[in-house]
Amino acid sequence: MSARVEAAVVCRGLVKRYGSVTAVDGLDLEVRSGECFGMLGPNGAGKTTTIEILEGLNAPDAGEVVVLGERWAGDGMALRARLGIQLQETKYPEKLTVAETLALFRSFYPRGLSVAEALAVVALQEKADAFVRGLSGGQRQRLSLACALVGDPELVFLDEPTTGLDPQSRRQAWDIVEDLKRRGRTVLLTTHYMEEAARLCDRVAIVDRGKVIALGTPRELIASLGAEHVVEFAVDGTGPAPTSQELAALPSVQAVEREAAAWRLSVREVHRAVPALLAVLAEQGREPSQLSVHSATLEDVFVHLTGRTLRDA
Amino acid sequence: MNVFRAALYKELLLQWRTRARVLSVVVFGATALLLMSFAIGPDAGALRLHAGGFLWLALLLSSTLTLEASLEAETEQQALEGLLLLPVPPTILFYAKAVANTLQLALLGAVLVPVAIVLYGAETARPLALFGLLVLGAAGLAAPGTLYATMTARARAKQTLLPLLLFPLVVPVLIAATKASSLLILGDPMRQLAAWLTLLGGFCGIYWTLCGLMFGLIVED
Ligand SMILES: Nc1ncnc2c1ncn2[C@@H]1O[C@H](COP(=O)(O)OP(=O)(O)OP(=O)(O)O)[C@@H](O)[C@H]1O
Ligand SMILES: [Mg+2]
Repeated sequence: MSARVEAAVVCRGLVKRYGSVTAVDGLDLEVRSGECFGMLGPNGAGKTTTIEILEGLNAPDAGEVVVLGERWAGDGMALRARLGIQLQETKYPEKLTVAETLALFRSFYPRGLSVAEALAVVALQEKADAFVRGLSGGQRQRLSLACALVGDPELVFLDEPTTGLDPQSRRQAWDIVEDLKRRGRTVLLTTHYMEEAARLCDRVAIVDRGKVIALGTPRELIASLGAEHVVEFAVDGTGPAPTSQELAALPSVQAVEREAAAWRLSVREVHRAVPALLAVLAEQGREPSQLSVHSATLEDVFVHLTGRTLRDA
Repeated sequence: MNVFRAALYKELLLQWRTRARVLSVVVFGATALLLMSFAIGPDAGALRLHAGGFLWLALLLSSTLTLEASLEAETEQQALEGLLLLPVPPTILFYAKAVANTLQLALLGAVLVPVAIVLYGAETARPLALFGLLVLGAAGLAAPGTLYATMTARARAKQTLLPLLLFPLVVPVLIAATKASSLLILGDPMRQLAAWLTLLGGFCGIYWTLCGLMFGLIVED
């Protein structure tokens, strides 16, 4: 037996079916101690189902789960005391104040932060004496984050921690996660914001239809495209149009994808590809009706792997 | 024990914050007593004879209102699932809720007794024993009531389901409590009180054990 548990979470061959829907379809994951691991995927990919199985809230139809070196068996109370969990949606009694709610949660854990500390972590000090009923959506989200952290957990599960937050609150939530990382805590979060995954996560698993379809650091995943930039353009109307072969032959173009009138080129060097592209179009007497260039993101990785975007998947 | 205290404190705090609602339940119970006293008529003997039964009937009716209120805050918002995240056996949270409900019901009873005294002439020579009986009877109603409020929380028609499920189960408790109350009010020449109280206590013990176990199972479902 190894004395130190290197992996905070391991799961193998996880399967969960709801009637004819296979929500999780043979999913494998390994989250290392001290890292921030992200599950990125579109709506219905199976992120919540997976994370709930890992949290011991949901029993898988097949597969095994080991969390902090233990399996979910019996009442799991000892294991639960080491976890912090933020559900995608949690509700608290409306007629308790924020401070009372946190004090209640704190009393359930053997150790942890003081109520004041927990409030400070999520910057809710001003709302300490406000009733939960009167909180905005983003403030409730921060309260649930505080409740997840008040037991000073070794492993934190965050299911879409920033959905519904305004940009400023989102940045605060990111700071909280970064602070957790600094203090050596392990974080497993789900999101469908690729900027969030890219910024916070040491490693990301891209999940689609209940399976991990790509895994790596955000950098590795983007590098796997073989191109650092994406050129998107469209040509409207009729007349001669460039073919995929023509476009693929342009200098520094790595891949070509087409969706109706819109094209996506994965390119290595924008300054060489774009002039060549415009020249080809000009030869055919066309002009792009749209043209944009951005650095490749995790979104592009997802599109490349599935042919769909995260939003419309 | 710490956890239990914290959970009980939370329940009592929530009850205190919703006390306006409890007041309306008191009015409801008192109105029920008033109506039933009219049904019997002005015969003082008959009023005293029936006082025990009507007191518990009024309490039973009121209890369905208070029990539902106690769970509403949590169920409307699926907070029950949240219980599973905590490193705390759900059973402890159930007992905290049941104790809080018992206290609330006993308090309700303590308020309704003076009403019954006025309306039915139901004085007793042993007020302390009557109060003890109220607590015991309230406990007998509260444990299954708390459990059933949880069970039916997700059912749409919980307003109709709760009494439907609660009433048959609490019949033995009500019979014993009514009998014991009548003995306290009318006098106990045959010394039967102890037997009825034992029966009542027995049922309470059974309900509290069973309901605690079942709550754990239900929540984990
Ligand atoms: N309790 C349930 N009963 C039936 N189907 C379910 C249940 N929970 C989830 N599903 C289905 O399983 C699939 C995966 O759902 P899940 O909630 O895990 O997705 P997700 O990745 O968390 O999506 P989102 O980004 O919208 O939160 C979906 O098709 C969903 O409809
Ligand atoms: Mg989800």
